[in-house]
Amino acid sequence: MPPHSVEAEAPAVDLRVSVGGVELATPLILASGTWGYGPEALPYLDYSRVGALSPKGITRHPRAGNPEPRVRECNGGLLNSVGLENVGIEAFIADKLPLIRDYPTKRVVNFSGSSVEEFAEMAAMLAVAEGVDVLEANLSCPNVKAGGAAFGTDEGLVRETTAAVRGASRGRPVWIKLSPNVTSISTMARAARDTGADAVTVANSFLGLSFDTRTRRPVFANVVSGYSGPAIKPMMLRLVYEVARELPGFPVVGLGGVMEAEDAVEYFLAGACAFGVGTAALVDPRCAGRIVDGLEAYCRSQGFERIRDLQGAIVR
Amino acid sequence: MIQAAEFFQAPVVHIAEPGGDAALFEVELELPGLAGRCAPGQYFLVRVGEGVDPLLRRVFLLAGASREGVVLQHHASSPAEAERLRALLQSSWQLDAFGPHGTAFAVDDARDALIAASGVGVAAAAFLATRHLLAGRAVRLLVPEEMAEAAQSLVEAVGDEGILVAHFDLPLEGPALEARLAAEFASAPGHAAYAAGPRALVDAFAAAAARHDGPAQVCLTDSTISCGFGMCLACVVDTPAGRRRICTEGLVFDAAAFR
Repeated sequence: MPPHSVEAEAPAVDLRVSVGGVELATPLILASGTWGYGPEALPYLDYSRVGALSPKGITRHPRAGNPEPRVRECNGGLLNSVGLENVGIEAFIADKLPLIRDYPTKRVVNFSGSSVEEFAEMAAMLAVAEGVDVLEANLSCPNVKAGGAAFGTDEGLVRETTAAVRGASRGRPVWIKLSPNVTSISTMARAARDTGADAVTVANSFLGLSFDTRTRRPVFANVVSGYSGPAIKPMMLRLVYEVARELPGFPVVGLGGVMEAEDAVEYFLAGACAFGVGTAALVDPRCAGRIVDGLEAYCRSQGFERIRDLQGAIVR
Repeated sequence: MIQAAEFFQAPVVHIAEPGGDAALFEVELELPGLAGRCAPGQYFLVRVGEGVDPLLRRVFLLAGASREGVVLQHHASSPAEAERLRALLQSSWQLDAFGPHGTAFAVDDARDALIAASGVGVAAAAFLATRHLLAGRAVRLLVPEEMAEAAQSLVEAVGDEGILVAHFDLPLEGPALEARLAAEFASAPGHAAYAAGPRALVDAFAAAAARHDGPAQVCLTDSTISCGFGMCLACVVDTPAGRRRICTEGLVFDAAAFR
């Protein structure tokens, strides 16, 4: 019999979560847009502690993105107008995906179409690509055929697009990344769920605007930009809470302003089953490890043996 | 293979505000053993304060490196920002520094040097001048009048090492700047030519360097940098030669890219 240890070893916390048909080793997802295609962050990350990597969002054809400037710090957050710069789906599958295929994490491939048909075409291409664990359709992009309104702001388009992606996905898990710039986020989440989504990501960045007061011009050539970071967390928590309350049992990935483990805890309490980390990467790309370690410590201190038991565990 | 930038919790040796420009900050950090990896034109991303405001790290340009540590300079974007950073820096006994980042000037110290600098570009100019002077080469330094006090400390610091001729009357922008630079190039044949500063200086310098018979490089110092290593795809600069990634392909470019 081994000698009795004076200091009992801390019990391990089960960090695994199940999100819309995918098992993740931890609930932390590297959100699309800030972590490059994956290899860039390798010097600063232990991918075995990352539940999923969502590489730079891709489009049907390569995009050069918007002119400079593309970022501006603003009131506890960040405005960005990168303009979906990416290599296009063909180069992504041929050149980028093989680099991350063997990483010890899941790959959530975020993609945007300019029409419902293009969403379906891209879903079909990704569905047969080796190394794609989840198809995540970004519905915050404009529908070019319908005058430029974002897919995610029209319930009918959410239904149509989700159904088209589902139909082309060959059984791969489908997540829908919603726009927060809507009157009723739960209406959009329901539309996605009812037409085949396995989960929703709540949500993309809020729309924002900033002016240069010296020149009286908008800061960004595109005028409107995306607002992310700590400043939006309370609003995103409210959206996650609304979806989780209205659609019990339907998986929600929370996204917006997670900088530390305590932020992630709040997303779990609001009802998310996993969370994304985006803007924090720009401040410190080592943040992913720190957040997962912090979550583990939190669960241990609060008596949770499984992180999934924290989901919706609000004390009233 | 380029070594990835590293994070350091670096003790602050001193913090100064070089005279004449209320938005310019200089910090010396204790970072022994790093000098071999630091070169003129490179930068560190420094987290000023510990909260979320300011959120992003700030670009601090290398002004020097020794066995003991590095000297960095930062130019605040506005008086309000300068006020905020001053308070945060003055209460810091150590700083979270991430670097070194970016391309460096290819120092051609077999030649005499012509250096034009403005704003925080004076930091890179100081580093460059030192390299040339230590190699026994003469340096001709051009700085705007408003930077004279800040640059004067540079002259005093490196002036003993060799021949440094400094002029504190460089126009800030426009035709006067272009004419002055053209005249300087005409009187400095074969010199290694460098510029470090905002876009107006870089464009004028690149245009003036078109007929120069020596190497000409520019360091663009007024861009916002987010992650610093090309991951976020947010930091670009549009040049006549096309769109370039400022954080990793720069801050130093061949001057030809800007004409």
